[in-house]
Amino acid sequence: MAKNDTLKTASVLAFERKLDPSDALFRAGNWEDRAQVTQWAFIPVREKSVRGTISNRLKAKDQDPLKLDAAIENPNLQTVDVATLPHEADTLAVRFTLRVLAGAGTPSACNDAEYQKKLAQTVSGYVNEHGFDELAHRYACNLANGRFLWRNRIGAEEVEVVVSQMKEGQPEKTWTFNALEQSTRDFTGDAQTRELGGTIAQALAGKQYLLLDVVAFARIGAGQEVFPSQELILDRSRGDKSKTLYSIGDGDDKKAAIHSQKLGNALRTIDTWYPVPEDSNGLGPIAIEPYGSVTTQGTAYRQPNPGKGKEKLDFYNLLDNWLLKDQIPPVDQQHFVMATLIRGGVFGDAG
Amino acid sequence: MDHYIDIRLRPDPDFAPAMLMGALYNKLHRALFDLQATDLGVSFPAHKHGVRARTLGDHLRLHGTQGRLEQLMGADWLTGMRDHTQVSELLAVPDNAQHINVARKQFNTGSPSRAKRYAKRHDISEGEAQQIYANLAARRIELPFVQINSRSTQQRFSLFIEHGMSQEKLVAGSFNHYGLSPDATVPWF
Repeated sequence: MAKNDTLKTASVLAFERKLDPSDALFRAGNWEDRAQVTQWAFIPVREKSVRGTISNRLKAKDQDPLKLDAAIENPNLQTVDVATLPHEADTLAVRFTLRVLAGAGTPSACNDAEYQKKLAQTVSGYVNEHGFDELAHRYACNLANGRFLWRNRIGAEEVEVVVSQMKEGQPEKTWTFNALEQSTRDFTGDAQTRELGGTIAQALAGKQYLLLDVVAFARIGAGQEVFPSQELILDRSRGDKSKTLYSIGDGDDKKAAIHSQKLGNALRTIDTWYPVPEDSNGLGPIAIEPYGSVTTQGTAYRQPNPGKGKEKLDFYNLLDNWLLKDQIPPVDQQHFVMATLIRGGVFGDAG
Repeated sequence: MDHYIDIRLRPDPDFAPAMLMGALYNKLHRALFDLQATDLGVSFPAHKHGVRARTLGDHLRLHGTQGRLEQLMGADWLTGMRDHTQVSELLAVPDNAQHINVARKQFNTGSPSRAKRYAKRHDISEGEAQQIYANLAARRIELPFVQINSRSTQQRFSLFIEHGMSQEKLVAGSFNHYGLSPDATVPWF
């Protein structure tokens, strides 16, 4: 057995992300006028102040009747951001561009030539055997099903996604999907998603340059609330705005938008290969993350220390076993490792 | 009301059950409105109440006659929620089922507009009216609720739902477009 005792993980090891979305801007218009989306007005972010009621759980010490009465004197005044469709428009358009870069598996920084060589061998082994078809098709499905709309997808009456391959500023080829017909639970896809997936696979393999223009139309209903990204505001003091929505532009010209990171997270929600907890009945795909972390649930599904008799299926264990110990992971986990490299990140040895 | 359909929310890494239940219930309301249905009811077998844990749960049960439920499900109102729900077959209600009333409850939550109106009627200042309403505003409601957009008035509001005591006897009556009724009962099992 060709066990390599000298090879070590490089202390500097970083990968650029290969799926690079822009921020997505929100526009409003009517479902029948989808062809004229470029003339639709942007959706502004507005501020509103509301007088809420005290409804949060009280700490044990605040449950004293005197203290509660004191709390009642100060009703829960809040200033929040909102974004809604205007009353004469029933459809939300979310538009962004997506660059697909070649060189998946080639580090952008690596200080160990031996390790880099082994990495290149391993990656080309994977590409020769499987190609990028499986991964690219899953990314294509996540474009087609409109997962990147997040809350805007749920409750919409109709959702249409138009993906155009751009060349010199002009659409060269266009795919149109009925997003609600596409499943967000599995990646069966159809002829169209496979064609789009093929194009993405070509770009990941470096056989062509690819820039996609993506427009999603969600028919939500006139005047309805839409959901841009919410900003994380650190060190907020009491009395500050309690909800700030992401917008591009200043002053009165605040255009509602979704963070590029949030789009990226939706596109790489393709991990169905994580170990399923015994008591769960089908959670569906989760985002590609080294430890399989799902922040909304506060759970990591790929634990580096899963307990006795269970396999270590986190990214670092899989990668190290594959490269340093020549233990080739099962096909599914190979897909996961490659998807993590496409996601990008800093994976150097902690020492 | 001798048949039912169970709709269960599937667990989802990105969306909390309460949010999904809100979207599902809004869709159901639109469907019931479009059908102008007065003979279809709902219940939430997994609901919880109490200030600490008020939630409708992850389980919505639709009640009606076989023909009427078939008509509703034929309307394709679940579009867009299919990935998030598990829908049972059309099933017959078990013989030993109890009966329960599921009703909307409205509360005076001391909203500013309400305080304003009170001030006008009683000829006092708005500040005083708000003082009077402060207790109401701070009162904590123990019933589970869902945020709804009314199909007829376009208003967005919190719909509080109360499940009554289960009882032996059936009470007939009509249901509103939220599948709720002030007096009629649905089977409970």
